[in-house]
Formats: sequence, structure tokens, C-alpha cells
Amino acid sequence: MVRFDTSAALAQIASIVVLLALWAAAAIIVDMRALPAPWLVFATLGELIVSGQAFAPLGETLGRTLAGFALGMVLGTGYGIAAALSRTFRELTLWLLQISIFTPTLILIFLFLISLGRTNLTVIVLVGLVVMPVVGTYIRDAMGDFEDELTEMADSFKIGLRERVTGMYLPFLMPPLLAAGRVAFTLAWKVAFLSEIFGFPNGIGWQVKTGYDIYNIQLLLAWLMLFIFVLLIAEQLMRLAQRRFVKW
Amino acid sequence: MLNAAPVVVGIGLWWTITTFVLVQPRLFPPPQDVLAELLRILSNDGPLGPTYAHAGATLLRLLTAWSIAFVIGTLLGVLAGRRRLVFDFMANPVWIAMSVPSVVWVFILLVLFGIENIVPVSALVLLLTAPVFLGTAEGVRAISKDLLEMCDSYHVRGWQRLTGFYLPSIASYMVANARVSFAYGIRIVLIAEVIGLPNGVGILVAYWSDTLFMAPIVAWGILLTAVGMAVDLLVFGPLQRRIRQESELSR
Repeated sequence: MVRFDTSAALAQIASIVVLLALWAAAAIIVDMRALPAPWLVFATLGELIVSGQAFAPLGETLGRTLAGFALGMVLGTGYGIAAALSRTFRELTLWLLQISIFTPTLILIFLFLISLGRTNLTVIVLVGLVVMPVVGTYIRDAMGDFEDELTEMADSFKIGLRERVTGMYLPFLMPPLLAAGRVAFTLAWKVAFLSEIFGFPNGIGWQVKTGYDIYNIQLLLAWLMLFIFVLLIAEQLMRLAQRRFVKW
Repeated sequence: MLNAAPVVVGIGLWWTITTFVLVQPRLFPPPQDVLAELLRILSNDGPLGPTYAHAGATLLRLLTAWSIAFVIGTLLGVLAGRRRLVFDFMANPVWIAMSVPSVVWVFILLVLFGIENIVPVSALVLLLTAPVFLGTAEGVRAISKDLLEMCDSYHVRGWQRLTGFYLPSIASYMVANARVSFAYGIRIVLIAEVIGLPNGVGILVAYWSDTLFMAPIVAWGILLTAVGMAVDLLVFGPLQRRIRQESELSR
């Protein structure tokens, strides 16, 4: 088992090394301004972090992402539970859910930023609304499995609602919530970032857009690396939490 | 009936609010304005030339990228499903390709390639390959060991093994992958189109956003959503049902 994990880790590290090598090779072949070498990009990123310039945009984007993510998780979980418990509610919201799943993200971003104004709240609500259907369908399907197994047992033992929520639903929902949370956070982080690229005047996305506008690819890639690193850290944290809960 | 009711109520609310509370047709277009824009789009009339040309360009890009992504994702997915090491090696690049938004890929590719159709298409391919790859790998891993051993003992190898064994065994996964990646594609194709192209719906939507006209944006949104839902419902839905039935019959 341990051997297996090390070979997996080696393969994962090897792929990153190969990617970086390809990037470096491409940077040497292509004109420097069009594609700066990885070490230049990471040097710029280091500078941004050491000088503290990175933290204000990072905080702005992260704050909006987390608020929108929380909103989406709460709405989505609520929707999922309601849809699993009531057939009528599921039928009522079926089309709305379909519509919300298929609406192009760019249309939503333009619509929200312009109609509701460029405020933090707009982005938070937008992120929440994009995240909600994903979490909702996840929880709904997970609850579907749940229904058959345990409800009858709880009924026959005459267990109260409060105990049911804390004793049955929450422990049961934890693994699907964490799985949905991983997908949802990635989505939230991307939508917050995109709405900054398409018009919200601060945060990491705006920095990337500025980098493109002034044709400073090195800066653009440095901010992009920051974007990727944050996502990577979030993913690892969620995975850790997932592993702990599944074991438990 | 129940499905449609909230949508009708929603449109009613939208009309009430935009007619009586937020009376600013440019920023908060009432439904009838959006309908008028919808008809205008359908009659092939728009500010930047014929709308069908833009819609056609967008759909062509989406279909090209989606087909390429489907082929690449499936082939790599089969390899990764068979060999754990390949999967581990692919996991990080796929994750990176998937996590970078398409517009950022467009930024980078534009600088490298200049203004070409290849830019948005390859940005979309990068993003759409990932779900196909992951789904296929999962499907191949789910194939039973007995069947694999049978294949080995009959010396079914190479191309024949791929088309005769792997692809049929994961047919239901393939349809699901196609469905998911198409739905994803139609949601994000516009994001790849806003910058650096002479045509496409993305440009049009950005134009309307810059001039602060919301009605056409909503109209395009409705159109694309409708196309996405129609393809999902009329093409992938029946296809998935049929494949499921067939696999149940053969069991």
C-alpha cells in the first residue's frame, strides 16, 4: 500500500517536472516577451508575495469567493433536502434547475455586474447562484439514497426531529457535502475570478486582466500561478477533511 | 404542468418588477423588450452584421472543440483507466487545464498564436477534455476483471481491443461524458470568445454590455440556454436511455 502511494506521488511529481520543462523549452524557443520562462514568472510571484502586493487582491477575491461559496452551499443544501423530501417541490423546481444549469456563465456575469451594479454583494450573490444548483443536485441525489435505508427505522423507533437532524441527517450528509464542497469551491473561485476579469475592478482576476492589457505576460502568469496555488491548497484541505470524515 | 408553473410565475414577477418598480428598460429590460430582441436576432439583424453568422461561428467553434476534446479525452481516459501510473501522471496536468478559466487560456494563447480561430477552440479543448478524461478512466476501471482476462486469453490487442472491447463496454459512460462536456461547453464557449475574435456571440454580448443594453444579452442567454437544453433533452437523453436499455438486455 505504501509502495503504491509513493509511485503515485512520483508520477504526480514527474508530470509537474515535465510540464515545467516543456514550458521552459517553449520559452527558450519562443520570443521572451510572448512567453516568459517559468523562473522569471516565479520570481515575479515571489516579489509580489514578499512585497505584500499580492495580499490585498488575494484577500478581496478570496473573501467574495468564500461568502458566495457559503451562500451557495446553504441554498444548495436546503434545496437538495427539500427536493429529496417533497416530490411536488422537485417537480416545481425541475425546469428552474435545468435553466440555471444551462445558462451561460458570461451572460450571468454581464447581467449581474451591470444591472445590480459593481458591488461586492453582486459578486457574492452571483457566485452563490452559480454554485447552488451543483450543490443542490449533489445533495438531492445523496438524500435519495438515504431515504430508503434509515427513515423507516427512525420512524419505528419514534425519534424526534432534532435528534434526527443531528444524529442522522448531518452525519449522513457530511461525505456528500464535502464532495459537493470541493466541486463548489472550484466553481466559486472561478466565477469570482471571471467576474473580476469581465469588469469588477479589483482582485486577482482584475490583476490578470491588467497584465493582459499592458501586455505584461510575466505579470499575468505570476497572478495566474497565485490563482492556481490557492485552488490547489483549497483542494488539498478539502481532500484531507474528506479522508478524515470518511474514515470516521 | 408543475414544471412550467414556477417559470411562468417567474416571468410574471419579472414583468411586474420591470414595469412598476425598476422602470429602466435599458438596465432592467421587461420581458416584451427581450422578446423583441429575440425576434430581431431570429430575423438575422444585429449591430455587428448578420446574427446567424455570429451564432454559426460560435456553434462551429463549440462543436469542433467538443469533438476534439471527446476523442482526446476518451483515448487518454482508456489508457489512464488501464494503468494507474498513467492516471497519476495525467492527474495534475488535467487538473491544471481544467482549473484555469478559458479566458485566461485565451490570453496566453492569443499572445502565442495571434488572432486565429485556433485560440478559442484550443482553450475550449483544454477545458472540455478534462471531464471526458475523468469519466472515461472511471468507466474503464469499472470493467470487470473477468472480461479483461478473457480478452487477454483470446489475444485481443491494440486497435481491435479498443474498438471491439473497451469502447463498447464503456458506452454508457461515453454518452454521459459527451452530455456533461457539451453542457459545460455551451456554458463557457462565450467566455473564450470575448477577446481577440472578429465574430461570435461572445463579441456581440460584450458589445451590448459595453453599450449598457441588457435586453439583447438576456435574449442571447435565453437562446443559448434553450439550445443547450434542447440538445440535452432531444439528443443525449434518448441516447442515454437507449444505451441503458441495451446494456440491460444484454445482461
